[in-house]
Amino acid sequence: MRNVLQLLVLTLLIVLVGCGRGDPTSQGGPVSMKRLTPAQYRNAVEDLFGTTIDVSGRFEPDSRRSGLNAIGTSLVAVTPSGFEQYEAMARNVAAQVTSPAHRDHLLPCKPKSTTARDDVCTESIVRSFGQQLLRRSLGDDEIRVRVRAAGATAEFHADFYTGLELALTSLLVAPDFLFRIEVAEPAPLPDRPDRLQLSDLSLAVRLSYFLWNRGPDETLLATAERGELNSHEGLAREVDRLLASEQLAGGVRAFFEDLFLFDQFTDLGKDVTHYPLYNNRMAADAREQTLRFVVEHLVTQQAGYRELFTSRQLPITRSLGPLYGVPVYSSEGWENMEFPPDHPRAGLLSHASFAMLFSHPGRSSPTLRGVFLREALLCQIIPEAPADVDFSLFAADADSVHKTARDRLEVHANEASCRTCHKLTDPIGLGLEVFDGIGKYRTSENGALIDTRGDLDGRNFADPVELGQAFAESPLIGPCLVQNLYRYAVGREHTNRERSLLRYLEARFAEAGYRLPELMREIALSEGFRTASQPPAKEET
Amino acid sequence: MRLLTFAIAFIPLLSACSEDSATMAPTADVIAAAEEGDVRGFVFSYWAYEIPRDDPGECPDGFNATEEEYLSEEYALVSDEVKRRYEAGDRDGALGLLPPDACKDPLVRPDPGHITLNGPATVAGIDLDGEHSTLAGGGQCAHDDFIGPNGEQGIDNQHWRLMGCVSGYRPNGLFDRLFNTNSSILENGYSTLLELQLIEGTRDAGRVSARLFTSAGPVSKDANGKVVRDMSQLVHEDPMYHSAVFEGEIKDGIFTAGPVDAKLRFKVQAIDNHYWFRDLRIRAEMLADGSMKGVLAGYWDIGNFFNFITEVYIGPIHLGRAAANNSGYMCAGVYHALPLVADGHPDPETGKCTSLSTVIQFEAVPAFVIQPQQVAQASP
Repeated sequence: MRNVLQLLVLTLLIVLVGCGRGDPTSQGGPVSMKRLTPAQYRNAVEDLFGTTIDVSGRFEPDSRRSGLNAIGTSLVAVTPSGFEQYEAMARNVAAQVTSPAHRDHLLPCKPKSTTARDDVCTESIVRSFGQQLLRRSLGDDEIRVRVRAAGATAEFHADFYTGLELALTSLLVAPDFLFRIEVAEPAPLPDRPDRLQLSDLSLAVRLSYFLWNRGPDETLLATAERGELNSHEGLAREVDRLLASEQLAGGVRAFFEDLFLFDQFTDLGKDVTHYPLYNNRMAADAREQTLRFVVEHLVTQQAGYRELFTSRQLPITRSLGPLYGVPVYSSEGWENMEFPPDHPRAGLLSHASFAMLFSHPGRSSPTLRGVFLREALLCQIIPEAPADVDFSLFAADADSVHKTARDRLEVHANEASCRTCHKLTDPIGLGLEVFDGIGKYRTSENGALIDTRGDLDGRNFADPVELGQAFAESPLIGPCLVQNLYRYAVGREHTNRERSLLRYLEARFAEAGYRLPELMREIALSEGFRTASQPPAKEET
Repeated sequence: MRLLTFAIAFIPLLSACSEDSATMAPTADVIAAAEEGDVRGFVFSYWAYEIPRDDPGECPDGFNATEEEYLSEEYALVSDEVKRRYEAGDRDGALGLLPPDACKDPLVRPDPGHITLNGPATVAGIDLDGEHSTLAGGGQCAHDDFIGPNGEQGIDNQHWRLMGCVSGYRPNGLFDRLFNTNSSILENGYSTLLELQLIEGTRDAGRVSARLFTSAGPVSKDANGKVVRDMSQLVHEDPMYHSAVFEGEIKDGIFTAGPVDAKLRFKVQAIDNHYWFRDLRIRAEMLADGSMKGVLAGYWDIGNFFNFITEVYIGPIHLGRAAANNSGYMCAGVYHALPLVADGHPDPETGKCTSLSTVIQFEAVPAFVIQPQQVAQASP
């Protein structure tokens, strides 16, 4: 009996150690079709044609799911009106590329005659551009049909470039360009006969969009086509190459733009009666400030993620100077500054971007700020407000009694239906009340002193600096980033079978000092990232 | 005929808003930053000549005539042809018919006279010469002082003596509404910067060193058109617009400083010039919100003054005469009156005074005054 018990304990220990140390063999979830985001579309055009080609038009709106647009991209389609927009943008891009101003330096060949078809030149262009836009080599049929159509158009108009424009347009509206279509193929293991893995090309595309927010470059495509991503060594070599690239900054930016809901800056507006200092330039700079701050810390300095919440360094522009009340020496561009140790600002939570984004047009909002921080940074779900809430209880302007947001919210939070959620959101949101609706520091509201004291899950804080410290040291902060980054990388919710992988990644992230590139590497090399599950079985009717 | 009025009508009207300073409380950010180095900066958000609104003084002999009024017969002889040529687009031909332009050369005709304000008025300012002067008392550059709004004696403001009976300079007159505002500041011209550094004592009661600068360019305004406080303001690159360091004091909420000589650039619409003040002094109230409000008082060089009011251009078009006609004075009259009312800086050879006591009302909000060398040192 004792031997049996010892065996059981030993087995349990092995399992636990296995969960904590080794890369668990968690199989990934289902593959999907992911529509390019506007930024990814622009990056694709820029990668191929450079920055001189203007991409103008209206994109189909993104759909945020579970806090990330990256997940929503696999759940959206292209509507008929949206396709018209894509086509208009494609025609516009193709017209610019084939225009006399650009054709000589953008096109790899010149036709024998500009007034006639030249199938050889057209084929060369379609093959070359098609591979980069569609992120794979084109089949002969895909090339032939475009060359034929371009030739006929060139003959009809007696203009080679009009025909080529049509061929380029067709590439720019191809589903394989507008969508990242993932393909999985059987890759059984003795203990997992149903195992699927991403095709080499699909893995290459997933990898490059995860790390760069761009399509794969020629080296990665070639590696994939040689089948070298199948091996751990081949995959690791490419992952390390991508991580060492300057393009990593763009990938990290894209993730945090998504996580921080920064697409909402597009629609941000403030009531200048309350905030005369606010303008669009300031808002754009505030957004950019946070992204630069994140990239500088996590990529350039290779600092730990938790330091984002305590760092006193900040890039700043002249337009942001009055908001932060600091001197800015450069009249144009960015410069770096550092708040002194006793300054009331430190870390991400004191950035103007969050203050202005998670506020109402005419006042700050502890609740909006609290919801964002709980959901995006701690991965806690805050339910929607009940439909029958009487907002008039607290939304009114200050009166003689309820001068501060804390006063007004206390009235509201006493409502039984509101209490549960507001207990989660308001204490941390009220901790940031010294930043008004555009992020300017203040000590009073309507003549009453602002009280920023509160607690984060039992840890008391007195002000935003201490709140930032509490976030940095929260046991949830690292695991939440792991969860969000993993979901962002695979473009879907994690499955129950991936929970052990997430625990493993959390441990590795902590061991690596919460350095983001290390976590990105672990994710990119993980079984969950490169494999897939069988599609859900169809229900029998 | 108001032909020349037509010319200046191209100049868009400026708002005569005088309450332009921001009223937000100073942030802890700003206070912390300033205390660190005991340096405080300010950018002027309002600038206007002192025009005594409650008691501007009487002009028993009437107001000054314009050239169009003074030479009405000459103007009448040519008015139809001037109008025809203007309408035909022959601007130079039209101007050629007018009497010689005394705003270009004040000696083209004999002194037409200029009415000065000779009686009492209640005028804000500073006793610059430390004397309770009277004209009757005689002496070098004798003049009558004013009494201040709070009964202060010995206020020197010969600028008001000179221009107090010019209709456009009277309260709510054309000049007052068009130019005697902080229009240089708000119309994308320049502003004045003031930097204070604590030498001794505390911020509330201490001795400071001070410097005045012209800003490098326009100041930022908020959505309400007010000067943005806490903005970083670069000083003008030309050292001519940097004053020497001068001393001052903060006591009982009042900042006093000077004297110092200063050239301060001014640009609004058709005027692009600078003030040349000598022995300039500052007296301002330090307000609870961190801003200040008070007066600059000093001696305005009379040559620079005449140049300032006559060198008015839109492109190549000289508008000094138009400005005079619209404000209500004659350039030749002012030219000849200036040495008579000047009360400062007597010429050592002739004994004649060469500067005119002048008072500027100003308001200033906190700012960071940035020197060019600090820009170069800024991290990328």
